[in-house]
Amino acid sequence: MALNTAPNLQNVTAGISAADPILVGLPLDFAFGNTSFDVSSISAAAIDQISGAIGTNLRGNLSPAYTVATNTTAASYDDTSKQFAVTSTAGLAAGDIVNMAHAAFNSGVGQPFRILAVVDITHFTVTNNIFNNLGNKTNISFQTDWRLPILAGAGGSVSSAGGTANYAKFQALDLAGNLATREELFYIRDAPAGANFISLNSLDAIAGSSGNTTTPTLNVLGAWAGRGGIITLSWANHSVQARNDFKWNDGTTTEKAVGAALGSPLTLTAGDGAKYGRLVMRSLTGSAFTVERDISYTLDSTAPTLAMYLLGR
Amino acid sequence: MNKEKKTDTPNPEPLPFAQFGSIVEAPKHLQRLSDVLLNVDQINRICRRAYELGEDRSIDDTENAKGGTFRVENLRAAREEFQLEHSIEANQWVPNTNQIKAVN
Repeated sequence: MALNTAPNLQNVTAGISAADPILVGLPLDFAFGNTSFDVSSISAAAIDQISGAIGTNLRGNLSPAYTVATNTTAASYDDTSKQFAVTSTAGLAAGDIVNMAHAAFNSGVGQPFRILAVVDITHFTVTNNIFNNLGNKTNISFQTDWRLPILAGAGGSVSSAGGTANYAKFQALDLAGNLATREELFYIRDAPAGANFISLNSLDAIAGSSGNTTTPTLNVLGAWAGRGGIITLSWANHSVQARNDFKWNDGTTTEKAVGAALGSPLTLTAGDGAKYGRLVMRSLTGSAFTVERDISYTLDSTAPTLAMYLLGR
Repeated sequence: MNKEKKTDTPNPEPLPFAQFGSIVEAPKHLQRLSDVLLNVDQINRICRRAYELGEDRSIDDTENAKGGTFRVENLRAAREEFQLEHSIEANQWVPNTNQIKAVN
């Protein structure tokens, strides 16, 4: 069984093999959901390197707490305030995942939503508001889901140079005590060496690239189909040089989808010499959680100055 | 002659469980039981009983979230109760004829 796809949320599609792994250190939310709207408690959440039995139970690391299992068939949505109303938001926080179902969306099948803000004890807003501008709605089925935030390679998961198989496991019960289990496989891998990680003009950008072009080509994890799960790139100041000399082709430095960011050469600040910057990589647009690397590029675009003399012999 | 001012009727409190006007208004997971389509009254009854058979719980404040009380509905028990009182005939759920009715 493959991971479910969350409509309208940013799914990390990398990790299906050692050849298409998740980059070590990438911030991830493992979201454990349910579309039956009858989960009442969590028995276990775990990430192990062996299929089957639960190793260390990580349910204490879940958000919301594993004891929070609010559900209702009568949630509602107010299209003026853009807020959802439920019987209680106790235990819920921004960033948490909830499952909601309404006949008007996704053929009536429940889908996950990420909480943008908990407004008060009965109201919240979401980041992926597909109800927006479609009028008030009632009789929305609602159920808390749970997420396990990890940095890839930590929090129970393991990485290695060749890629490590990790098994995410989830066990939940309904109020009758029926136990459901789910296990999914994903690979995490160390950043490859040299230019295979971050390159400028095909040279290792972390060690320091060089060239004579004022529009160098950036590549990130080019040999990994899913680019390690990275969704966006942006620029920040180099941590030592305290400046950024790199811009996207459109002259901006702000966050771009990885495909758009890498689709055109970069532009640089004017003049030859060392160019410094810090590449910021995210698995979720706008996230406060990032993977970052200082990079540099020495530009020498000036041809040598030749001299010629006519001398006696 | 002055007309008597009508007293505004306050809006009724919304029910704490869903009540649908038709089957197609219900989310997918509520429409069928054992892969047999329920009628809208049956869906609404299950929603009501899921709420009534649920339980209240509470959680304390945490670092990231406010605590409070919340309800866990018991959709599983509501469905099981319904299945004890109904059976499938001609691909629809019908009440058991000799079943002693559950207390509503």
